[in-house]
Formats: sequence, C-alpha cells, structure tokens
Amino acid sequence: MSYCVNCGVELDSSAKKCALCGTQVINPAKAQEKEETIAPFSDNVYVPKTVKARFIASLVSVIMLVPNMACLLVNFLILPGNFWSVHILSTSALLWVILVLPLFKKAHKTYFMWAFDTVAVGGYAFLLMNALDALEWYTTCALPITVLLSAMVLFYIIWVRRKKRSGILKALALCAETALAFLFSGVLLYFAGVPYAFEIGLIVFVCIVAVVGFLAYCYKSESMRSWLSKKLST
Amino acid sequence: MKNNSFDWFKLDNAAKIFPGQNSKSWSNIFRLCVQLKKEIDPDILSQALEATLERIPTFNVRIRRGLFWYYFEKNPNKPQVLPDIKNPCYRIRFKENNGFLFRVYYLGDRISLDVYHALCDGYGASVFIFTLVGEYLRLSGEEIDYNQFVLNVKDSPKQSEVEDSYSRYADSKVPYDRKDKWVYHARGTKMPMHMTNFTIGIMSFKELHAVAKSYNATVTEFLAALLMDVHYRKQKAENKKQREICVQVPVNLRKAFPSETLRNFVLCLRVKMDPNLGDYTFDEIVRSVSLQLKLANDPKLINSLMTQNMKLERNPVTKHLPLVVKDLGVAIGFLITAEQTTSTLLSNLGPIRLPESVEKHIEKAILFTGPGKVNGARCGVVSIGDKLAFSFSNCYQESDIEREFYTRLVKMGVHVKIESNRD
Repeated sequence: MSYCVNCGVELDSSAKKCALCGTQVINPAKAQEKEETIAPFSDNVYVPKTVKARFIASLVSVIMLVPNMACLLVNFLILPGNFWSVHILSTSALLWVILVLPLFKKAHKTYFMWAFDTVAVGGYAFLLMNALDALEWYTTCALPITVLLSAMVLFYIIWVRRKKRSGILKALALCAETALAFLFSGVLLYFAGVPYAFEIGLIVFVCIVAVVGFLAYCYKSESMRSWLSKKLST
Repeated sequence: MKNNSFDWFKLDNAAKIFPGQNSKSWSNIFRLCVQLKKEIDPDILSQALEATLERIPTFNVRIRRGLFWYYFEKNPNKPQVLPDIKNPCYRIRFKENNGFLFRVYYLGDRISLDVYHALCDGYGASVFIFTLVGEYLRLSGEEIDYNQFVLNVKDSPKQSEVEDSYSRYADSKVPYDRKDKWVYHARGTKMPMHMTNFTIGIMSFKELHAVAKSYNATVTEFLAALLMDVHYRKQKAENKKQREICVQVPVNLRKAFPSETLRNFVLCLRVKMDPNLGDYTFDEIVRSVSLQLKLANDPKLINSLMTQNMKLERNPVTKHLPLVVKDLGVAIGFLITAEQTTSTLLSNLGPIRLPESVEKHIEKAILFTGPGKVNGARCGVVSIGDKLAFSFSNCYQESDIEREFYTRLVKMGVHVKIESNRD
C-alpha cells in the first residue's frame, strides 16, 4: 500500500509515481513485499488505422495526371500546331503545388512551402507571358505583384509563428494584410500605367479598413457590444 | 409501420445526433468496467457475450444508412473479446469490429465495455455488463440470482426493453427552450489523437455520504458542487473575464416515467453559477447546486424539455431532409457549438443494487465518460456496495483539476485511492 506524500491519496501498488502531481513513489518496504499485482491499465496503446494524407495526395496526383497526359498526346498527335496543352499543364501544375503538395509535407516545412508556392506562381506567370507574348505585362504587373504578395505572406507567417496568438487577432491581422495588399497592388499598377488602378485599390482598402476597424473596436469594447445588442435586439 | 420484431430498430431521439458527430478523432463513447475477484477467462467471457447478445437485442446490431435516417439492423457477425488497451474510449468506426458498436475487453480480473452512446445510456450499459458478468459467473460454475440489472439470458427479450421511450413519453403542450450562455472551459495542452487521460478515485460510499450529509446535500449534489467549486476557483486564479460555469448532470428518466427501455432515456440538466454575481463560499455553492437540481428534477419540466428536443425530429420539413444534408448540418453545428454551453459533465449512475450472489464476486465498478471535445474534466460516478468510483476523463495533459478535486476530498476526511492510465 503506498501513498502520495504530496496529495495524501492512496496509490495503486503498481504505480511508480502519483498520477495527480507526478511525485515519485519511494516505498522502502516494497523490496521485501513482492506482491503480485496487475496494473489497472494495460501498457498497450491501440492506435486505430487512419487513411494517410500521403495516400490521398498520391491518389489526387494520379487522377490529375490522366487528363493532362491525354491533352498532351492529343496536342502532339492529333492536333499539332500551337502548344495549347501548355496552358492546361501549367494550370494543373500550379494547382498541384498549392493544394496537393502540402499533403506530402509536414507542417514544420512552412518556409519551404512558401518558397515553392512563390516560385510556382512566378513560373506560371512566366509561361503565360511566353504564350501571350506579353513581356511588358510580366515585368510591370505580374512579377512585382507576385513578389509583393509573397513578401506579405512571408511577413504574416513570421508574425503568426513568433508566439501564440488568439484566433480573432489572427483573423483581424489577415484582413488588415488583405487591405494593405489591395492598396500596394493599386500603387504598383498605377506606376505600370493601368487606368484607375490606384483609385480602385484605395477604395477597397478604405472599405476593408473601415469594417475591420469597426469589428476590432467591438471586440475590444464591452460597452459598444452591449449598446449594439440593445439596439439590434429583436 | 410498426416494427415488432427485433430485426431492425430506428435510432431514438438522443441517438439520432451521434452518428453525425462521429469523426476520425472523436466519438461519443463511454466505458463501464467491472472488476471481479478472480482472473477472467476470455473463452468463457466470449461464450457469455454471445448469450448476452441474444437476451439484449439492442446491442446485437450494426448501423446502416437509410434515405432519411440511420437505422440499426441485426448483426450477422460474431462478436469478439479483446485484451485491454491503455487508451479506452478511442473513436468508433461503423465498419470495424465486425460492425458492432461496442467493444468488450478483459485485463486480469477486469471486464470492460466500451459502448457507443447511440446504443444505450449508462443504465442500459450497466444492465448489459452485469448480465454479461452474471452469465460469465454462471458459466464458470457459480449459483447466481437475477434482478433488474442481472437479466437471465434464458428469458426472451421484451418489447418494452427495446422501445424508444422518448417518442412515447414526450407529449408536453409547452416545449421549453433553454437559453444557454457560452461558458467557461478549463483548457490545457491537448493529448495526442486517440489518447485520453483517465484518473479514477476509489472511495467509501458511506464516508462520502456522511460528508455530503453534513452539507445537507445528496452525493450527486455534493460532487457537482465540489466540481463547480474547483472550476470556479481555477477560473478566478486565471484572472480573465469571468464566465458562467455550468455542470451538466444527466438524469435517468426511468425514475420519472415508467419505462423499462435499455436504450437511451436520459436528459441532461444544467446547473449553473455566475461568478460575476460575487464571491461564493463552498457552502453557498453546495446550497445553490442542491436547490437547482431539486427544482429542475420535476417530471413535467423534464417532459417539456424532452418535447423540445423532439421538435426537429417531428417537424415535417426537417424530418424529410436527406440523411446527407442532416449529417452535414449536425457536423457543422457540432463543430461550432460543441460543449460550448457546458463546462463539465457529472454522470452519476448511482448505487447499483445487485443480487447478493453476484455482488460477492464483484470488487468494484467504474464508469468512464468519454473524452470531451473542449471540456477537460468529465466525470463518471458509480458505486457497488460501499465502493464508489469517481472517474475523470481528460483530453488535456494537465491534472490540476483532478488533483484539486481529490485533495479537497482527502482534506474533508474521505479516503481516496487513485488509479490512472497516466505515464
């Protein structure tokens, strides 16, 4: 019979430490006792089988591969001429990198995934440029905006991973980032000579900031919440 | 169409929601464990299980999908008994385990039953496991007597034991819709998937009863109050915005209505306390909990709550939605509102009175409530003779609630013995 000296509860004779506080059981009489006891719980942990994410990822990859290969063959054998199948292939590849690849990789490879996604989007835009012969569009719009968005995503990832933050704060930060992304994109497109780009970016920015600001204020202020629930009560 | 055979059953009102909530990480499953005084022989246990399933047909089922609802149909497969595991109450899959919605384990002198809540409530599970134990003892050569918990497997099943008592007794003219706030939860570091911490305190029923009596409360009221007090002090120490604390107490409706069913027939009462009203002493909490439980335990009020629960099931529009839509609705609803209105659960099966010839072979019984989705401590209580087992199921690694609870009991003069699956 052993007791926890810290909690004052009796422990099972098979216990090596107290289940409540973790204090080690030191029982000088135990060496002589030699009591045959069965522990109340088995040591055998049963982990039920689950479908692995890798399996789903492989399945989706194979399913995606079939129409792509078909398009490629049709393009070369039946309808040669221009390379229309490149569009299908590159779009599939982009989707695969963004949606399917994370299933293969563990969560701690966040920065690797970020870099890969950035390269994939940039590469996709590059292919589009080649297909549409739009060098100016690529250098003034596509590339800067890709770099900008990628940098903002990186900033957000670092901010989230630095310490534990509440879900509401994360959501607010994401909205604020979206608003800023619109504003900066507007500025970039303005310099690229797109008409009204800055104005549209600014309008979206102001709208989002107004809504997010209002929500953030409601989140902070209890009196505001109670006033609202009074006014909006049905 | 009235279904008078034991070949298939509709799910009862409480059970209807559980299949929709079932996921790869969580099922509504609980365990009843009985410790005998001799080592278990798995072969005899297996024979006893087959005989028991013939007597209690609501367990001898697998779950199937209909167009509008799930249903149970008779399971043609053979049940199996398994050596016990360290992580009881892990999630259930409808196609595993030969389709059975329960699992029977043995370890040393213990027989354990993990059962899916859609099959039965605590009372039904206790009848099943004690019938199984009775048959096991009879097959190993003991003379035994029978009563309401230990059924004779040679009798044939009764229609009244498989009825859906909710639909029979819920007939209030005034459905009563409870308005519940979102309440406090004691949170911690999540355990890995499929693992739950169980901490069981074994104590003397007489000692505990005497302590409860000194506070002018019953054992359930006293334990619920102590649980609430532990949560109340923990929340206070956390020094955040103080939320209401709510202890969910399921009540056996067979006491209020003349039902003999072995399926679900429980309703959860909610005992609440708002720390914003001021500082409470333990005596005040016991008094408040005791009065709230006494007040809520009124058959007419319970009927009205039960009728409210039946509303969606009886509504002609929701009734005829396809099962896929219903499942999706339940799953999404559960994702958002799961356990948000309750801080903890206290399920008391009460003292189980067995025939003397069976009780002398039984050391103790333990009720493990299933792990919570967000609730740390969920408690189950059951007593046989003078031995009362109080169990905590905790989906978090921390054990501060358990420690506070048991040391408080020790300070009040109740001797507590701890068993746990913690490392």
